[in-house]
Amino acid sequence: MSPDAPILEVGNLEKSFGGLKALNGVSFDLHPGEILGLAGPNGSGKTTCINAITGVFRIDGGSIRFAGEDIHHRATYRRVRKGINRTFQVPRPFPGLTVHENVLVAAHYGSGEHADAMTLLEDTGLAEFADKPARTLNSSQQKMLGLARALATKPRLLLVDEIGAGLNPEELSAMAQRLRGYANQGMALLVVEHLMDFLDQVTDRLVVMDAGNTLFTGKLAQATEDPRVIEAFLGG
Amino acid sequence: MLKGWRSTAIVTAITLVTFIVVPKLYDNQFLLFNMMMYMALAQGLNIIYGYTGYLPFGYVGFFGAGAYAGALVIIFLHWMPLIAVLVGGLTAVLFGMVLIPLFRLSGAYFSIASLAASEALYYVVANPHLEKITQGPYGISMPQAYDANAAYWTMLGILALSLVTSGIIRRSRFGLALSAIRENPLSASMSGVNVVQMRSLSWLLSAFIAGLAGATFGWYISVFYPETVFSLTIGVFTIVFILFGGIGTLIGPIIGTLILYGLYNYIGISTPQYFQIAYGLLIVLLVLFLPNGLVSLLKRRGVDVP
Amino acid sequence: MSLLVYALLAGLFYGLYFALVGIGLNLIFGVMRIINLAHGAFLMLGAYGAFYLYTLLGWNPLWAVPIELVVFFLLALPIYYLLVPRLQRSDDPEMLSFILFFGLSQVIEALAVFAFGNDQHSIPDAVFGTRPLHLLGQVFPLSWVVSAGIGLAGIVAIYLYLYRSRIGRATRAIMTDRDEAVVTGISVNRVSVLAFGVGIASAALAGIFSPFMLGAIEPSMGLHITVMAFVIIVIGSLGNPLGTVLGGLIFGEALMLMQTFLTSWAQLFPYVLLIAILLVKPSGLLGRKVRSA
Repeated sequence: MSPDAPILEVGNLEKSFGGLKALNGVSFDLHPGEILGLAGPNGSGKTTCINAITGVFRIDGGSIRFAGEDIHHRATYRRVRKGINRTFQVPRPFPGLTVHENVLVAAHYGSGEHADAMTLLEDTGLAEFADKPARTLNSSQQKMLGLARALATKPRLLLVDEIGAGLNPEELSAMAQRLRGYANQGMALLVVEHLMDFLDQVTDRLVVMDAGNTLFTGKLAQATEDPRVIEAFLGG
Repeated sequence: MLKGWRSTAIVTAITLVTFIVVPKLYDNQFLLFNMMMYMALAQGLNIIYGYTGYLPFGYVGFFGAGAYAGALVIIFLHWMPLIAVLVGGLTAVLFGMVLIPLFRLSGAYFSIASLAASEALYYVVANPHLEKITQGPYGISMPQAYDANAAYWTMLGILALSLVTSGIIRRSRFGLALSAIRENPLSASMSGVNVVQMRSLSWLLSAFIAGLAGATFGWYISVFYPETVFSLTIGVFTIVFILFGGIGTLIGPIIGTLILYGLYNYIGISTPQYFQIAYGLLIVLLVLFLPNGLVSLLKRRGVDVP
Repeated sequence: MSLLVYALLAGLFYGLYFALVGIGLNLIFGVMRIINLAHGAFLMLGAYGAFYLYTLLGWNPLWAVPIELVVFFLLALPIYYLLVPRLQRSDDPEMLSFILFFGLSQVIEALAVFAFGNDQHSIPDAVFGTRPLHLLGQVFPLSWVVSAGIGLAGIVAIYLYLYRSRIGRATRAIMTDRDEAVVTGISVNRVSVLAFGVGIASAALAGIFSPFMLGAIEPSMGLHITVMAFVIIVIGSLGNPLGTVLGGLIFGEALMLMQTFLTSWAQLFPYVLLIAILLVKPSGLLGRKVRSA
C-alpha cells in the first residue's frame, strides 16, 4: 500500500430499514492524517453511515474498504481490532463499571498492543474519577470517556459522532484542537457534525449528505454557497 | 487486584475445608451433599447470570441432562461413575451448544425460552415411548453404582471447580469482558470484545458445572424420576440463593445458599408451605428493597467483597 | 377424515379459550412492561373460587363469572399499589418483574395449599347440562362450547375497552409509546391500575372454566399455565392484546391436532413451538419490529 493510499474507501453504500432507504449510494475516501467532515440535515443518514462502517449492521450493497481490504462482512470486534473505532452521539459507557475499567476493557481487547488506560484517562481529564462508576459522570465527561475508550483500541480511523453537541465555545475549540492533534499523528478522522463553525475549526474538507445520498463533496467554504446544500439545510 | 485474588483464595479455601471437616462432626451427609450441590449450582448460574446478565429460568435442564446422561452410561455401558459424571457434564455442554441460538433473544424472552427448553427435554426423557432408553416416567434405578461417600467427595471436587472458575472469572480479563457485555453489548464489541464467543463460553461453562452436579446427584441417590432431576424447584432455589446473597460476586452465592438452604432444612422439610411463603416473600422484598443482595450492604460501606 | 374435522373444531373451541388464558398477561405486559409470572396463580385462585361456589353453595360456574370479575379486580388494586410503582422505579423493571412476580406466585401457591389442601379437584361437566353439542357430525361436551363462548365474550369485552372507550385509547397510546404518552398528559398510573385489574380479572375468568378445559385443579397448577399463556402471547406477539387471539387459535388448533394424531408427544409440543417461533421471529407473528425485552 502506497503511503498516500486512502485508509478508508466507501463506495455506493446502500441500506434499507423496512421500506425506508437510509443509505442510497454514499461514496467518499479518507486518507491517513486527514479529517473529513460529514454534515447533513437530521435523518440524512450520517449516523447510519458510521454504523455501517463499524459493522453495527450489514449493508445491503456497496463496498467498505479499510487499508485496502474489503471489510463489509467482518464482525464489529474484528473491525475494531483492525483499527476502526468511533464515539457515540449519546455516550454508551458501561455504567456499572469504574471509569478505569471502562477503558481497560478496550485496552485489553481492542488491539494487539495494549494501550495504557491510566495515561488515556489523564489525557482526557478523567484520571481523578478512575475508581468511580461510569454512571456517576456527567454527560460531557461521559463523552470524554467514550473518546478515551475508543483511543484505547489504538484506532487508525476514528469516527466521531456529534461530539460538539452540548459543549460551550471554549470546550468546542479545545475539542477541535484535540481532534487536529490526532490527525497530526496520522490518524484519519470522520467528523459527523451539524455545528458548522466547529467543522470549520477541524477541517476544510466536507461531505454533505441528504436523504441517504452524497449531495456535495469538496471545500467547506464552497459548500455553504452550493444551492443544493442550502436547499437541503433550509428547505428541509 | 492482588488483594482481590487473596480474598478469593481465602473464601474458596474456607468453604472447601468446611465441607471436609463438618462430616466428622455432623452425620447428615445428604444435607451437606445438597448444600455443596446448591453452592456449585449457584456459582454455575452466577457465571452466566451474574456476569453476563442472562437469566436462564430453565437452568435445571442442564442438571437433568447431566443426571440422565451419567445414569445411562452407567446402566448401559457399565462405565465408572466418575467417568459417567464427566459424561454428564459434557452432555450438558452439548445441550448448551444446541441452545446457543437462544442468545438472539434478550431479557425475559431468553429466560422463558430456556425454561421451555428444559421442559421440552423433560418431556422427551419422561416420554413412555422412550421407555427402553430412559425408562420414561418410571425413572432410573442403578443400585449397583451406589456409593454415597465417593459421590460426596466428587461433589466436593465439583464445588471446588465451580468456586475456582467463578473466582478466576471475576478477577480476570474474561470476567471484565463479560461484565462489559452485561452493561452494554454494543459498546463491548466496540471495545474489541467478541461478544458471541465470550457469552457462549460462559454459557457452556455454566452448563458444564450443572451437568457435573446433576450426574453426581443422580449417582448419590441412584434411584430417581424425571421430575426429581428436572424439578423447576432446583433451578428456582438456585436463583433465589444467588439473588439473596448477591449476584456477580463469589461470596454472595455461598452466603445465600448457606442461610437459605439451612433455613429450608430447618423449617422447610416438615412444612414446605411455610418455607414457600417465606422465600416467596423474600423474593418480593429483595427485588423491591435489596436487588443486589446481602453483599450490597457491605459494598455500600466500601468493603471490597470477593 | 372425521378425526381431522373433530380436531379442527376442538382446536377452535380451545383456541378461543386459550386466547382468554393469555390476554390478561399480554395486556399487563403491553401497558406496564411487566411479566406477571403469577398469572397462572391467579387463574388457579379463580378455579378454586368456582369450585367452592359449586360444591358449597351449588352454584353454577356461570354465576362465578360476575362475582369473580369484581372480586379479582378489587384484589388486584392493592397488589398493584404495593408492587408496581416501586418496581418501575428500579434499574431493570422487566427482568425484575419476572422474579418479583415469581415470588408472589410462590406465596399465593403456598397460601392456597393451606386454604384448599393439596388434593386435586374438579367440577363435573354435567353442570352445563348433559346433552352434548352435535356439530358437523361430531360430538363435543357442552362445557367446551360454554368455555369457548366465554373466551369470545372476554375478548370482545377487552376489544371494546381498548378500541371504543376513552381510557382504552389512552391505554393503547401507552402501549405504543410510553414516553410519548406521558408527554401528552395521559395519566399512566390510572391507565396502568385499570389494565392491571382487568388483566388479573381475566385470569380469574379463565380459571373458572379451567376445570373443563385444562384438567383437575390443584394449587401447583399455576406455573405451567403461566408458561403456556406466555407461549400463546408470544405466538401472537407480546404487547399486542388482539394478537393473542391469533396466538390462542394457532395454539389451540396445533395442540388438538397433536393430541389427536401424536398423543404421547403433545405435552412436549407447546415448548418446542415457543422456541421455534422465538427463533424464527423473535417478535411474534404479528410483531412489527424486534424489541429488546
